[in-house]
Amino acid sequence: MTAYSVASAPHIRSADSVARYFWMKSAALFPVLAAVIWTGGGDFMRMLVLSAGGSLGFEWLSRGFSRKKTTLLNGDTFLTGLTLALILPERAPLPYVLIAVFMAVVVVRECFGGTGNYIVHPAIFGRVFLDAVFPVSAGSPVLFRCAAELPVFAAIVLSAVFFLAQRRIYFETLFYYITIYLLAAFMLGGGSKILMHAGVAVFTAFFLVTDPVVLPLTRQGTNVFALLAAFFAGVLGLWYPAVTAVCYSILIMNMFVPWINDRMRPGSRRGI
Amino acid sequence: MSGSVRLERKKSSTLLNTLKRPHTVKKVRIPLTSGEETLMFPAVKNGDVIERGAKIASPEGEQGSPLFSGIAGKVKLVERTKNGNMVCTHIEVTAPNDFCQTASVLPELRKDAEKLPCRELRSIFRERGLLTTDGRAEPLHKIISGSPSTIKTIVINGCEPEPYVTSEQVLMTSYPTEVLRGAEILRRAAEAEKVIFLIEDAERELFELIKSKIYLLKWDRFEAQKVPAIYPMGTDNFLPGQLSINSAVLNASTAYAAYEAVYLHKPFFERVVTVGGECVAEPRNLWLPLGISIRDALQLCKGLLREPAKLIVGGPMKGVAQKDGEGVVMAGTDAVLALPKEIAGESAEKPCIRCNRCVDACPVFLSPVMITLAAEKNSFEVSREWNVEACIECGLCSFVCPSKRPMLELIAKAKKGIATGS
Ligand code: SF4
Ligand code: SF4
Repeated sequence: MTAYSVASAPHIRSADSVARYFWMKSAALFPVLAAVIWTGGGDFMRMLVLSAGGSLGFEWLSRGFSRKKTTLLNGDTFLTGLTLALILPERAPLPYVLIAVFMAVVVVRECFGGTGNYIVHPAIFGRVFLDAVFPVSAGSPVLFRCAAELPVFAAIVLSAVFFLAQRRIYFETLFYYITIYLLAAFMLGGGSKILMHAGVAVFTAFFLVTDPVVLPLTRQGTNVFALLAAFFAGVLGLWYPAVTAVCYSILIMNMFVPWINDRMRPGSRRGI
Repeated sequence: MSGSVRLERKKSSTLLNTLKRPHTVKKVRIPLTSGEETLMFPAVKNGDVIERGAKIASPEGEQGSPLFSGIAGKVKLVERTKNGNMVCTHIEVTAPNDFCQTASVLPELRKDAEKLPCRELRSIFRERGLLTTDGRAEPLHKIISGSPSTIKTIVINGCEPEPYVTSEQVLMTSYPTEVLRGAEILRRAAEAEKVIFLIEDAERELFELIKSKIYLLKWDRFEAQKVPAIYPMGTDNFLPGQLSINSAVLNASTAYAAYEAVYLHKPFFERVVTVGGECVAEPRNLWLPLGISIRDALQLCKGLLREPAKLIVGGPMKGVAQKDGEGVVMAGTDAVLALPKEIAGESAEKPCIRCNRCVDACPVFLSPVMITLAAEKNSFEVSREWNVEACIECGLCSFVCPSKRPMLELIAKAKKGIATGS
C-alpha cells in the first residue's frame, strides 16, 4: 500500500467556502442592481462597470506588484465593487470614482492583507473618503434617492430575502437594526418619508452592516454592533443625508469591534 | 446559523450488509499495552501453538488487564532492546494458510450469573481482560470500581454521531437482550441504582426496540432516553449536563462484552468494527479480532474499489489518519474507513473571514477563531486567555469553517505551546 495523507482530524469538511459566500452574496444583489439600472439608466450602468471593473483591475494590479497570488476568483473584490457602485452617486466624475475604488481596494483591502484582514468596510470607506476629501463630488446615490419608489423598494426586499435564505446572518441582528433605524427616523421627524427610510434600512442592514470581516465575533456582539450602528445612523441623519449617515455610523462601529470582541465573549448561556 | 451541527449520517451503506464474523483471519499483531503505562509480560513463548481465546500476556499488578488472542495459530514474540534489556513489544499470532478459524464450541451459559456478587463480577472483568470499547480503552474493572456510592447511574451510550460508523447500532439491533443483560451486569458490578440507555433521535427503530425489550424484561431500573443526533453528543462521553454527573458512561459494546464474559466465560479478544467509506467494495460491520491489521480488515470486505485519499481508524471527525495499512484494530477502534479524495481530500487554506461559524458551532462555547488567530502568531498566552484548554477537540470548528483553516492543528499547537511554556 502506498503512503496516505496523515493530516489531522477532522477528515471531512462542510461544503461551504469563502468563494461561495461572496459570490452568493453578490448574486443576492441582482434584483437591486436590476432595479437601479432600470431607474438610474445609463449613468448607473457606467458607474457599475467603472466600480466593479475598477475594483477587479486594482486588485489584479496591486497583487501583481506585490507578487502575491490573485484572489479575484473568491468574489470578495467583486462584491466590494458592486457595493461601492450602489453607494456612490451615479454621476460622480471618473477620477473621483477611481479614487474611491482605489481607497477601497488598494488602501483598505490590499494594504491590510486582502480578504479577511481589513478592519473597516472597504466600500464604505471608499465612499466616506470621497465625502470627506471632495465634498462637492458626493451626493446621494440613486438607490438611496429612489428607495421609496415601489420597484426599487420591492427589489431591495427581494434581494434581502435572497440573502436571508443563505442563512449567513443572525436574524435578530437585522431585526434590531431595522427597528432601531426606523424608530430613530420616525422620532426625529422622518415620518413623511418612512418608506424611503425603510428601504434604506433594509438595504443597509442586509448588505452594508453584514460584512462578516468587520463584524464582532459573537452573536451578542453582532447584535450590539447593529443596535449602536442604527442608533448612530439615526442621530447622524439629523444633519446628513441618509447615505452619509449610515456610512459614518458603520465606520464608527468598525472602530469599536475589537472592544466589543473583548467584552462579549462566547458565553454558556446558549443551551445545546 | 444555529448552535448545533447535524452531520450527514452516511450510515446506510454499512447497514446494507449484515454483521459477519470472518473465519479466515490469518494474522494478528497485538501490542503489549493494556490501558496506560501498565507493564505487560508475555504468557506464551516463541513457537507456541495456541487456541483461539488463549491468554497471551498478563499485566504486572492488579491494575492492567490480560490480553487474549483472537485467532488460533503459532506465536512469535517481537522484541526490542530497551535500556539494555530485551522487551517484548508485540505478540504476533499466525495461522497456517489453509486454516479456518472455526467458532469455538459455545460454552455452557452460566446459570448463576444473575446472582454473582459485585466483587466476583469485577474480578471476572479483570480476568477476562475487559476493556472499555470507547476512546479510553481502559480496563473496565478500574472504571467500574470507583469508591462505592460515586457511581449512581450506568449510562449506556448508544450514540454514534460520527458519519459512517454503525458498530454500536448494529450490535444493539442484533443482540438487544444480551446488551441489556450486559448493562444489568455492569450496574450490579458498579453497585449503581439505574441504567440509562441513550439512543439518537435519528435511530427511531432502535429506540423503540430497546424500549420494548426493557418493557419485556420488566426491569424498572432501566430507562431509554432519546438524545438529538448532534455531533459531538456521545463522542468520548461528551453528554448533556446532568447525565455525566455521578455516572459511568459506557458503550453498548462494552455491555455486550461484559455479558459474554460473565454468561459465556468469554475473554475479550474481538469487537465489532465498521469497515466502510466510499472506497470499500463491500462496506459492513465485522467481528474483528484485536490486533488484525487495517489492510486485512479491508481485505475481508473484498478490498478497495479505488485508491483512497485517507485511511482512517475511527470516525471521520475524530479518527486518526494512517500512513499505511499496518495499523491494528484495538479495543477502542469502532471503525476503519477508506475515504476518497472528493470527501477527505485536502483543500487550500484561505484567510479567516470572521464569519462566526466556528463560534456558533463550538459545543463548549469557546471562540475558536480567537484561539486560532492567536495560535497562528504563536501568542499562546492569548490562546490561553481565550480558554483553549477547555477545548474538547471535537473538530467542529474545522468542519464548518468556510476558509478551511486547520483549526484543530492550531488548537493542538496552542495547547502544546502552553504546556511547554513557550
Ligand atoms: S469559521 Fe473559519 S472563517 Fe469563520 S470565523 Fe471561524 S475561523 Fe474564521
Ligand atoms: S475543536 Fe475545540 S474549539 Fe473547536 S469546536 Fe470543538 S471544542 Fe470548540
